[in-house]
Amino acid sequence: MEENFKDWIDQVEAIAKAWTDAQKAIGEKWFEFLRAAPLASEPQREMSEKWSKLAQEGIAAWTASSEATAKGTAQRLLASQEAWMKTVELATQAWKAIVSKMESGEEWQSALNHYMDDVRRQSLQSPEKLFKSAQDVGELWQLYLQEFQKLVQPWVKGLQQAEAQVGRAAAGDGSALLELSRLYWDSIDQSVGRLLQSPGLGSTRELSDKFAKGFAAWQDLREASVAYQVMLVEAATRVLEQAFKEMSSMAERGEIQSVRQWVLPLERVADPVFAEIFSSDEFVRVQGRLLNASMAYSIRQREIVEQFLKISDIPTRNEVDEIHHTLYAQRKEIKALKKALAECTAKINRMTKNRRSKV
Amino acid sequence: MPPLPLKFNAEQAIQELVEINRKVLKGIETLSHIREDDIRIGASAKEEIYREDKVVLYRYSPLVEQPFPIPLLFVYALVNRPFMVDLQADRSLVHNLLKLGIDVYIIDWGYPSRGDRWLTLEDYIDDYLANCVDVVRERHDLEKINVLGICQGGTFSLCYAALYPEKIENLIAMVTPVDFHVADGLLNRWAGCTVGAQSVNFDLMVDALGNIPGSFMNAGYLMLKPFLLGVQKYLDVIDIMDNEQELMNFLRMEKWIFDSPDQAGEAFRQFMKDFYQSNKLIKGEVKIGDRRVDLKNIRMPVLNIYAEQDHLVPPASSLALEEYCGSEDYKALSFPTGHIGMYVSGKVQRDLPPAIASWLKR
Repeated sequence: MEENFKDWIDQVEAIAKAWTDAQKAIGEKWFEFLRAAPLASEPQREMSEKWSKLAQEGIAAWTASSEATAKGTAQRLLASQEAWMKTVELATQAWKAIVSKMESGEEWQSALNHYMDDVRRQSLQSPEKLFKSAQDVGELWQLYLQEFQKLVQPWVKGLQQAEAQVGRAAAGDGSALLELSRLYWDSIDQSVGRLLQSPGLGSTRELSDKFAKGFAAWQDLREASVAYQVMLVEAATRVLEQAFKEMSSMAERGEIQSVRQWVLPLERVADPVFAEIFSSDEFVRVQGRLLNASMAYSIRQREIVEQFLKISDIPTRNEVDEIHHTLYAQRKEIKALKKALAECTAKINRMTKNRRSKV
Repeated sequence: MPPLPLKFNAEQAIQELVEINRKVLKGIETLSHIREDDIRIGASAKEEIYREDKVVLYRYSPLVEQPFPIPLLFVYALVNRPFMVDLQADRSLVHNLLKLGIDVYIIDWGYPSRGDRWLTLEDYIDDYLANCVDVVRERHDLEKINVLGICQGGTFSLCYAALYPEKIENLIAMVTPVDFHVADGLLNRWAGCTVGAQSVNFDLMVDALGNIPGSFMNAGYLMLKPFLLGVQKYLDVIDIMDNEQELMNFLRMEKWIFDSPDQAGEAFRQFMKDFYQSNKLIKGEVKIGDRRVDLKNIRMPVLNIYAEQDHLVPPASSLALEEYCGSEDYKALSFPTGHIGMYVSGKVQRDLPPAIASWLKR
């Protein structure tokens, strides 16, 4: 029996190795092909072992002047081929792991369950780790500010560099806001407690409040993202579990006669399993929480950005929306007036016509 | 001794891999020469009849000398472009109806921009749609015309027909959601038919985004069948990569799928809250402007066409129309296909146009 299992592993390993080696070799050809392609801009000198990365870059250059649909399709095509490669890799790993467990006397179902538990644990390790590592408020605050710095950098930079702005700021309200940028980017991030506990004063008060609310929304978004990731991992794990079961049945029936057929079970089971999980109330709530947290954060983010826009005399989105709303209301009013005018005109014409016919 | 699990060897695997790569390369080479203009959607000739803001009403050029006297107005959904009904000559519902002597009009809702963020359902139904119907009526000097609403456009048509029954001769609802709380529809569940506002807070969404980006909507639709629509479809296309005609068919579909207009914020908010979350249509509680939509006012003949494998609008959602509308001349017609297959499946295109034409001419 042991000999049989060894044969199984040997066969799967041999095919998987041949497949991977061949893809690497083909990757090299891809590079030559793409380098010779008519629209390639800067052919890379170094050969990358990761053919997919190389091919992605090549396609980006090669289809630089192609338009949206063709380029998008080329990229999706390549991504799918890569997904297929990964599926083969995954199937090989699973096969080896499960057969090894069976080799040591474990039942097929139990071996599969143990393997899927490992996959689940490994997949969840990252988000859990991320979440735990960032639970400290100070650390979270740092991360939050890093993200915000990127977001408002153009305005902060503009404010710091433009002499006119600095002059104006020094003379008026801007000075307080410039002070704020230093306060937030350099000082407050190191004294979170003080910021969160003490009431803001003067012109800094409003922005302090916005930052605090933004931080809370961002923290909520991070938590919601982790919960969503966990559900997706669970869904993906169940897809793989079902696929491996089906692969095994097909193998027993001698139905796997090509690589395509090897990954076929995944194609067959994936969406029905996803659909089952996606339609649970639990998933709907978790997904809803993520979407809602994301929208809430987006609103808070905008409130802060708008402060910087105001300093630079740039119209904010709310102001633009207000103008659009006014235009919309006036457009409706004009349409209603035109309609009323047309009805009146028609009525007058009818009356005139009637009068003429009587005369 | 158990047989070896895989009935192929390393050499065969490599051959298969080489063949896949050959096809992919050939496909990418072909794709790199294709320009956006080559991927033409909309096979039938049409002329602009009426324009209001970004909305355009077109009339397709009749293909027979004496078309059927009562024209048919297509009302498409706000998501995606209306030209799916005329994707290409050999897969065109419009073309087939024209050949059968139907005089066809279509409303193109256009691409809402930031300035259209405040458009409401009242604007779409009681203004744009109502005006388009009036234009067609006036052009043909008719009191009533025929209307064919598709998906969300079908729901709009139901609302319009309930508000202005005197202007519609025959109403066709195609893959139209009516009962939004049919729980076997994933879209219905995601929008909150089972858990309400714990799913998505649409007020928050519209406040945050203004208009809802088309790409955002698309991502949601793709997530309904993530493997099929995100991976499988592109694996399958490898097999047709060296067939230029089939590749162009595929690209036309891709172009249509990803050509998603943004959704005007206020109209989206109202549609998602009133229809999806509160299911007000069948309760008779939807209000367009200050008028209540009562489906019982729909007393004209109704043809309800649905797709048996529709993953976006479950058949039960469409079929609810029979119970709630007031028509005594009601007929349901189904096809063994999905939501999109309704327009592009060869079999459906063989059977659907004659079914519509003969029902209209009966």
